[in-house]
Amino acid sequence: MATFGIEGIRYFSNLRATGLVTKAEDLTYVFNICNGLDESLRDGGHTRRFYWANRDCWENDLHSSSMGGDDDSWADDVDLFFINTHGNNDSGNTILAYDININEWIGNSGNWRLGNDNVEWLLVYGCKTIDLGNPVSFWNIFQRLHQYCGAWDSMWDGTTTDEVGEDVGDNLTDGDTVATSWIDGVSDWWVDNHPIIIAAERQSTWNGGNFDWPQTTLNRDHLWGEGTTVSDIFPADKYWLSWRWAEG
Amino acid sequence: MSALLKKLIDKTCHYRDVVPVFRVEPCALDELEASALRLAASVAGREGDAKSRIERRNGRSDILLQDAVRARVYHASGAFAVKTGLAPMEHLIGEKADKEALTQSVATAAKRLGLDRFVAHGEQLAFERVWQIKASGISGEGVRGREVVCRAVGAFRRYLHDLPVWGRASAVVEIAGGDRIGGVGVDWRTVAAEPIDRAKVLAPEMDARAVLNDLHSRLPGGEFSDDDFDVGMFSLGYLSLPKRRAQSVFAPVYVAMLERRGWTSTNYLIVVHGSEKVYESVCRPNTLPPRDAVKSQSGTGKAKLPHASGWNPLAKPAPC
Repeated sequence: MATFGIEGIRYFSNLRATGLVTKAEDLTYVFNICNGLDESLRDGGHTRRFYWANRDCWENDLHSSSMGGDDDSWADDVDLFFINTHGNNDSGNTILAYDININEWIGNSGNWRLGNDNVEWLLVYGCKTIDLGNPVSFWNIFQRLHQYCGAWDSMWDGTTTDEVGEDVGDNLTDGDTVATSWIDGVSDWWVDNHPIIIAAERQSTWNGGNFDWPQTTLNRDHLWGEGTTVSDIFPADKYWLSWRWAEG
Repeated sequence: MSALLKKLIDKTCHYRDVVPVFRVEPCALDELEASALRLAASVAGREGDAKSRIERRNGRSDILLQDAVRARVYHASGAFAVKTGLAPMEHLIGEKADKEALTQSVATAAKRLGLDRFVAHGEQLAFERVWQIKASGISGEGVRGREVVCRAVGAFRRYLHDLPVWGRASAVVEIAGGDRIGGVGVDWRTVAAEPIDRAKVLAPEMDARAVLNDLHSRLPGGEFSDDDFDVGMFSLGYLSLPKRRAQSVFAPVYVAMLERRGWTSTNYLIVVHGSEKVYESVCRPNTLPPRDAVKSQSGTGKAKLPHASGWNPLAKPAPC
């Protein structure tokens, strides 16, 4: 079974006060989403290693330990890491908003190196985390990380998406692949949440760009104990990145 | 009048002075499960001979059929979903899919599955949107592979006496290559044939102001400018609450879709009561994080102290 960690930031008054993002508005259903995922995964027999809220969520938690952060203690110390906050994209890198300066107010995926310790799946419920035109910019974060689930444009905060955490968790524990779990889970097929998943792949499935899709991480990877989980792809064996997204 | 308020009012749609209020009819769990089973058997192509097993727990029933087909019924709402268990990257639709053809395919699939069986007198089920799930890839050297359409998801909207029932799609059909069914979802709270009341609808301006009050509560001590949001929709209608939540009436609401412009780009869906008389709350309560997730000294609660960081946010990431 899997271990997981959850972080959710609803309030951004301290970030606003810095002047870095003066209109970083508070979110609404952050903890409905986080609690839903937490309860669903624990109900499925998986183990929560940590759940941090608001100012207990730090930029440092995703920032690689090898680059001055502490991800080996948090995001990279669990099998699945989920965070719900404001997101955006800067030159192909995910940027995430925090309400405390440890060690930055704004996180940047340029400093993420995930999977070298443990984590297989990174899930971010935040806007515009992945630039659909430039997914290869995430090449370096895949240090045995299997998949990164995010959004290629804006996401929604509202009454019809407050159950998405539970939906993703239920899908993951029902035997759906991680890729299916994310797209189906965060979609109510009304508002456009722009889900996308990027996965690390081996050369054996590249096939000159005519991909051997059935053998890909994207097609086969499940949460531990819920079906086939593909083996880690070490950086030296990583050949291409696949991605799957929904658009309306 | 602020420009944002004007934008909302200008986008008003489906407005009328008076709207009938309907009681949501309770449905026996056995009936819900039977209905879901019929649809699941139909999806599986096993009408009449479907072998199944039902497990009830946590406010839902899971119906397991042969060939990995399964259905889930949500007791609070009666909503259900059927999944056929297709692997996401198998049975692909193809490299070039015409959107009109996909629309036709999902409409045909919906008809074949008889999704109109839920439509009662005075109701309609209309096509709303076709979603596409696509995939592609790129090598470490930047060589892109071919893009493929994996699935098409047709979303359909219920109308009750010509008013939309907003919320998650009222019905969805997911199709894979060869017009195989990948999944079906139905969110349909049955209502009584006769209304229990006729509600006088509040003027759009009044509810647009309520929407803006709700919106501005997200920025305490600050103010949004008129350019911070676009209005995607401001509609009178009914609202079907999330599928894990019980509901007793369909009464008029205004639904606003506000699309954020700025560093943060979270969009907001705000629902306010559309009549002076409130028949049932449409507010979705916020939950708090679990007690053991909150430390007494916020920001200092973690067991480990952070390392000092020499990170420069403007620096390019180092190659691996």
